[in-house]
Amino acid sequence: MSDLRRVFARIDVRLALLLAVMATAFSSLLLAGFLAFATVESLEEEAVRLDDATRVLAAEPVGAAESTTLARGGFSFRVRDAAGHVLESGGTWPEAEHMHGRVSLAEALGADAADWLVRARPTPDGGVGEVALSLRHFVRERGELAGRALVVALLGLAGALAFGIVGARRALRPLRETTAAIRAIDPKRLDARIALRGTHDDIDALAGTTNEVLERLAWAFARLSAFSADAAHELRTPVNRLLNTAEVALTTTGDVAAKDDALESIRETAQALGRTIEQLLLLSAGDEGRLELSREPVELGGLVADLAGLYAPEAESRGRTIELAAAAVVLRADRGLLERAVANLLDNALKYGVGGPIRVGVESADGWAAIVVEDAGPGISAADRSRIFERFVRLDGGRATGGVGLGLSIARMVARLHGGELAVGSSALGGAAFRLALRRDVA
Amino acid sequence: MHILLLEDDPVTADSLTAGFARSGFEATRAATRREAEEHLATTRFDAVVLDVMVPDGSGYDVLAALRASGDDVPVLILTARDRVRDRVDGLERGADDYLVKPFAFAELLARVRALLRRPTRRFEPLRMAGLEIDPVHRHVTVGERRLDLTRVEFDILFALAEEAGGAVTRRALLEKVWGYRFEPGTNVVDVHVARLRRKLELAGAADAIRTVRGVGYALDE
Repeated sequence: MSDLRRVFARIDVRLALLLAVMATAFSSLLLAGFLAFATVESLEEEAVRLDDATRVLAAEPVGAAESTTLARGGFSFRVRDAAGHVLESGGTWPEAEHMHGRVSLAEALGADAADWLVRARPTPDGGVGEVALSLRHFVRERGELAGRALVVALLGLAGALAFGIVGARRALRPLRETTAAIRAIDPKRLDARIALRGTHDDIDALAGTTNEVLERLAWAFARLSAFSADAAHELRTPVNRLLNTAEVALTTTGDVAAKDDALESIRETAQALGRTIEQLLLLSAGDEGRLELSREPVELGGLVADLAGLYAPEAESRGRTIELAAAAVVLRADRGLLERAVANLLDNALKYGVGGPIRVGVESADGWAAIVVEDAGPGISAADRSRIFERFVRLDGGRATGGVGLGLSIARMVARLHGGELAVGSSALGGAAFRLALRRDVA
Repeated sequence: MHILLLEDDPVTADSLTAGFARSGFEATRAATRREAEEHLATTRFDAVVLDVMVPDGSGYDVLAALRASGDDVPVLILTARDRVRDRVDGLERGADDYLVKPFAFAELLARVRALLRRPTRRFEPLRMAGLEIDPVHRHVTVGERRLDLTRVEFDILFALAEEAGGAVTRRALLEKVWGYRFEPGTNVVDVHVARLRRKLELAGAADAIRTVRGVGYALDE
């Protein structure tokens, strides 16, 4: 029984409903067919009795009125001579319009209690013997048969209805369970998952999809709350510094130069804080899709050369050089955002690519162009390559190099807003190679 | 006095034309480069005011054609871009003065009147902090010595000179000289200013650029 139930449970909902509809239709047809068949059969039995009686009458037409066969059988009869005169008769002879000769489905279903079935046979002396059988008995039997069939049909209907209701409830139970499970989801319990039944049907598909959505939501929530925690931490440090410096300055009396130094330090910290907040706002605008790109034709070679020019003196002051290998490629992009992204990559190359040159290039291929920034620093280990684009991640762990670790997140966001990607690999120079790829299809 | 005004924005053009009319000038309007060139071919104007960005080209094209034909009518350029390079480019191409949008009409009127008065009608070199800064030729001289400056160095100096003693922040310099609207994580601007200072020092103008503590830089008058 439990095996059967398991088999039932494994049947696809759509298949089960189809089977139920087919079974109901098939049994209805069967019942109707049986009813018709039984009715015709019953009429044929009457006809056989009538044929027998007619044969008896035709064989012995004289004295038929005394025949027990005809009297007991409830037949009406008459015997006529060759001229048509009635010689003998018994019972009530029916009106012509109520006489039926054939036995067919139409007669069997159409006959009523006033109808008669009639047979005739020639007699040995050239006359004719006729026998009629009232269909009253047949019609009553037919009525009983129909009544029984109606009872069977009603029982079947009730059964099908019950089966349908139970089946539907059963089929929809996983859906109700899934609905309840989905209703129970709240941000604090995003680790809840809906159990799959292993039936690979629509409901399992829904449960699976819901689980995937939950997975993504849980990931996004975890990321968001980690982001808020990191942001709070990053903002708390400079705010504490501001407070400390201000308190020290307030307790310093008379020393104007010391107070000026404190104010200067406060101003610098506030400026860095402002920069962090501005970066956070830019990232959140990107996250929420509020960042509208103002696309215009941008020549990447020139853009990169201009930025290299901006950074060259700074690089030289650190004993470094910027090598330029930029081809002229024009594509439609948001110039301001792209400049910011490339500036972030150059900032990074200057800070982390200790010693050695920085190489900036523009490459292009079918449908793609890429800005590549390489350095000769220690590079980025394979384990860190996915991590460095996350917000507030600094591989040096400290703040020796300044910045809070949002530059690469912003650069990657800019790439993605343009339908591109920012990836990191190894450079022939020995350090990291950042490759900001952009689609050219709207050049 | 008859002025040609090339300006494609009808609202701005309306208000400027009305302003000129109130001040006793007759102003002819053109909304496209072609219209402006047609007016210039048939009419003699006392001064020309050109918007840089117009639908069918640039005010610079009109200016170039004008100067190529030997016409020395005073020209004032209206530029929406706040980059030193764009303004200096206009002067190099033969404009007599420029004005950065948005501006007050009184300022435009004063500039146009000055152009009409000035006999040479070319942009006067700026003189401050012992320097002579000539954007028309991109020359900077200290006494008799001409400095050899890169385009970026000249633009930094000019951006400071335009503020005439006022402090210019690093961020403003980044925008005026390079056109960038972000703050780099490193002190790239300071290194450029340091290079410019070294050149000024060699020419004997060591103290021309003053560091305004915590703000940026200034060039004193």
